Amino acid sequence: MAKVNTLKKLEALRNKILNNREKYRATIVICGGTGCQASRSGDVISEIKKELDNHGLNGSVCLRTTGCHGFCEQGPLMVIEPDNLFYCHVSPRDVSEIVSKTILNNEIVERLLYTDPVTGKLIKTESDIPFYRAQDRHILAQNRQVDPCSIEDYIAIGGYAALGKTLFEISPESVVQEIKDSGLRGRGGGGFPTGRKWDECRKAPGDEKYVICNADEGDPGAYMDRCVLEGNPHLVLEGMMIGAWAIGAGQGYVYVRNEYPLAVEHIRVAVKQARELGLLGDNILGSSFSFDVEIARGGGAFVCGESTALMASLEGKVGEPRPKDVHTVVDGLWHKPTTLNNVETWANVPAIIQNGSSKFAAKGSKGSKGTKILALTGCVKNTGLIEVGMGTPIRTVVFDIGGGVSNGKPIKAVQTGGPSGGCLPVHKFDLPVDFDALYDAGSMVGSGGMVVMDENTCMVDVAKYFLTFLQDESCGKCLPCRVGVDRMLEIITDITEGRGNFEQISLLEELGDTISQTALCGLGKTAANPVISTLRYFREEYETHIEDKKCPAGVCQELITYAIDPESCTCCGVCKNACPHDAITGKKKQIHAIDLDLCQKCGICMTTCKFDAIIVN
Amino acid sequence: MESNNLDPILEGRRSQPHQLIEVLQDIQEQHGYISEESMVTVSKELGMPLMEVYSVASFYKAFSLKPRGKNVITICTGTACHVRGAKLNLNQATGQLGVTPGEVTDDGLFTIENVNCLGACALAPVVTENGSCHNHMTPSKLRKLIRSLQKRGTEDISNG
Amino acid sequence: MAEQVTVNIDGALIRATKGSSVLDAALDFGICIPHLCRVPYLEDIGACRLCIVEHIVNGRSKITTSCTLVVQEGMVILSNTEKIRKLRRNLAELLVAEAPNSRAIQDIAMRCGVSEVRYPFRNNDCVLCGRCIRVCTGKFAVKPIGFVGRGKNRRVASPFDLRSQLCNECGRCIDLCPMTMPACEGLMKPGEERLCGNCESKLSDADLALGYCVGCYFGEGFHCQRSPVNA
Repeated sequence: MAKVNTLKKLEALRNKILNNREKYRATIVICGGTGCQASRSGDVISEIKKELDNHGLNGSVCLRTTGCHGFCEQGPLMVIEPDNLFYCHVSPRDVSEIVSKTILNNEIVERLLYTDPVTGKLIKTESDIPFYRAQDRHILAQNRQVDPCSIEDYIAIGGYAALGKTLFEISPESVVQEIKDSGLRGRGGGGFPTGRKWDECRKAPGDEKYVICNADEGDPGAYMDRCVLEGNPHLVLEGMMIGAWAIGAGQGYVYVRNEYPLAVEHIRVAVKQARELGLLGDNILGSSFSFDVEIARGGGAFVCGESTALMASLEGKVGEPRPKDVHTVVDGLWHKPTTLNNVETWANVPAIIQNGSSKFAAKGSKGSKGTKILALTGCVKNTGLIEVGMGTPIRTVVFDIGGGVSNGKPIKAVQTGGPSGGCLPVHKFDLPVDFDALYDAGSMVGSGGMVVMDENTCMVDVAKYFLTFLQDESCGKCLPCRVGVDRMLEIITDITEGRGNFEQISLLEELGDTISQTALCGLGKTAANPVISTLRYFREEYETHIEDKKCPAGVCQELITYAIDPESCTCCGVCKNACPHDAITGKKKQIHAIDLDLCQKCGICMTTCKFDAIIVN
Repeated sequence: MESNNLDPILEGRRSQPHQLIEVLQDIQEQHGYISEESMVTVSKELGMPLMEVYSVASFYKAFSLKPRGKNVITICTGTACHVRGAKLNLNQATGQLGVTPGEVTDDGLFTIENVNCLGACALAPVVTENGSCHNHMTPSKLRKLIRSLQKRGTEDISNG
Repeated sequence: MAEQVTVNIDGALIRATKGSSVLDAALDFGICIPHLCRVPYLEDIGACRLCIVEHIVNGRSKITTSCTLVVQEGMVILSNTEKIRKLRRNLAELLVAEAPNSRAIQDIAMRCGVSEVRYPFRNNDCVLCGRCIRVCTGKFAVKPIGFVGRGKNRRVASPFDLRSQLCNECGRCIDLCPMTMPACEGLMKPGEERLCGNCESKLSDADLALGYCVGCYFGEGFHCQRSPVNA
């Protein structure tokens, strides 16, 4: 393809692509995101290709493989345009029927439609499904419209038009002002006002400046950035380019964690395609702006999500943060002014420039504008990736979108913000998804992870889980984090193993306070949050562990014992086979028993018993 | 000899210390682990002290300084997986194979690793093996998977 | 003559060389800010966090390490508030619980006001202060030692844990290591670790002119240059 080195040529290319598509009577959209791929959507895609070939439909039906549509539980997902017919749980065996009935005869294959769990009715289109209806899919909706490995798809929906507008109609100062007026705040967890960051960087002295996209999404339970980068890499690139123009940078980096191979591949392809078209390189679209992007992979360190540690990693060093008395917008990568923003933050930029800051600021709450992508997981029916307007109550997210509890046990809490966040009990579910509101309640929006927990979750165990994670991921440089987190874990382990005493609770609080005030970086400073928030809202659970040496949720291994209920046991022997520690004895037709000396309390027997004969004491 | 092995990886990156992590990533992918010889070669070719190479290789979890088993079973222990019972899968794997995460089984066939989030949270609990991603994993499914890999392993050995 | 700025530390107006750290300025003046990882002629890294101070900006207080904070004209610093003393005491408590087997570490704990240790003692040989690594220049300016591993598993080592040929055997690392000064009453066997507390009476000396140097003995032979032994 010829280089697009003027704005006119970009528009001409867009028209050419759209004209080329007039010949399609239908487009089959299949989700190729990681979730659906794990449900074997790749096999469905091969099958579709074969069928279209067989029927000679390649010239009139378009097949588009996209990134994540968000409704991962129902995958593999398929949408058929132009009517946007929505099929879920599509298997390769269904393909020939889909082609012969729906594509050729406009007939609906009813068994593939989504059934509303409340009304029992069949739903035809995505927008009518309650999961989607309650959302505001400002960014995620684009995932359905583009094949991430096709720059033409992105251009066809108006991609790079915002860049064109920026380069020829708006000065760098005005771009910064637009972002400031929009109220956009960092989506990676910090929530720092993006416009202010760009302004400081723009004003910092120096000719050599950098922009970085932080795609080192390390919060366990969060995969928002993965889906945006995998599904719509050009959106992120365009945002970076606009930011680079605004602050005066000529080079950008995308730092992707290496646990996301698909995201790495897709952003690499996107950069290659952009370069081929001349949208990256010298004199972009014929302007004075020259910019290029390099992709770097993380090495498996959560701490590298911290901006100074990330920059150290880009420089080929150990990912240790450094003190930020001088901000990285002044002294960052290679000691040059650097603007580092999260994937979702960059993804919001093109629309703000194209549609204006007031449209963006019209959504959301007073201190938190726009929308936020959340990863809703855990004990809800509809887990997946969602996008809601800031200010949406947690209750709406968990019940209207999430569909409520998944296995009959009542919901107990929701954990937001990853290891830096906290747990909020059900009586706080009227709180909105809002940076300041959640922070005041002892948690945070963070990067957007939202894990729903039911009464089978022990909150002390949750605190222990996060402390274990942070201890593993601590870089080890500063004393309060390296030793303090370890000591907090030691205390909580005592509590979960029946050796706790009440003085330890105040020690936990004091130590947590010390760590949060003296640690060198954000990882350490927020390390105590899971402990402090669970102490704030679930103190009784800690007290029961200490006083009664019992775990009410039946989770903490040292405080529970497993036993076989002789009334329910059918002597089937399944648990005996399943036990990896040979702790179950029992011949055929004999009630089985657990040898408590051999039992490691792993809980595997309980999951295999079909008669609920294994009980926890 | 080692330098020839690493030539394609070092191509275009010589004397550029900031490429260290990318170089180590490629070595890990292609050779399964970072050997002492390769660290010495990298130190020479990138022009940086061996101590720094060793520091970086030992800091990042992606790099294994010991050879790993033929089948690497990675169990995700992220929050969503944890809440849905990832610990049971970890117990199943460690109990069945008799090794702790990071170690290799005596027959060299397996290494168990746990990772802090693979990003497929809606399908928790997640286990990957040899590039395949398995969702909604349960201890019994995992037991069957490990058995089939063991069977495949002994078949390979008997087939020479 | 190097350019100078005036900073306000604990109410004292101090002239400091531009580009120097708040910690340097304070210590030169005689304001005692406890520290461990600092070595005067080496780059400061802010790892031990003991030298924290309150930096007052626009009426708000920000806690930061004074060794990494560069002096600016008109800066206001508080180094000895109750908040800072409590945080420092908690940090020193963590430190001495890790490695009580050193006079230097016990002195730091005493100087920071630790009177009880609420954690089970460990008997580590290294506090990971990093002084040895920073002072080491090796042969041909290539260090034979460095930090290896991460977090709890972080340790000082040479490549592949083999004695490196780059080691000059100059002994500067040993000179600076706090762990080479055995505790006053001798090496503590595992299980017998305790907070020494012998110099508790000298604490009152140190508190006489809250925060200012009174020539106490807590830095003897180790980290404080003003100690009468070191002067």
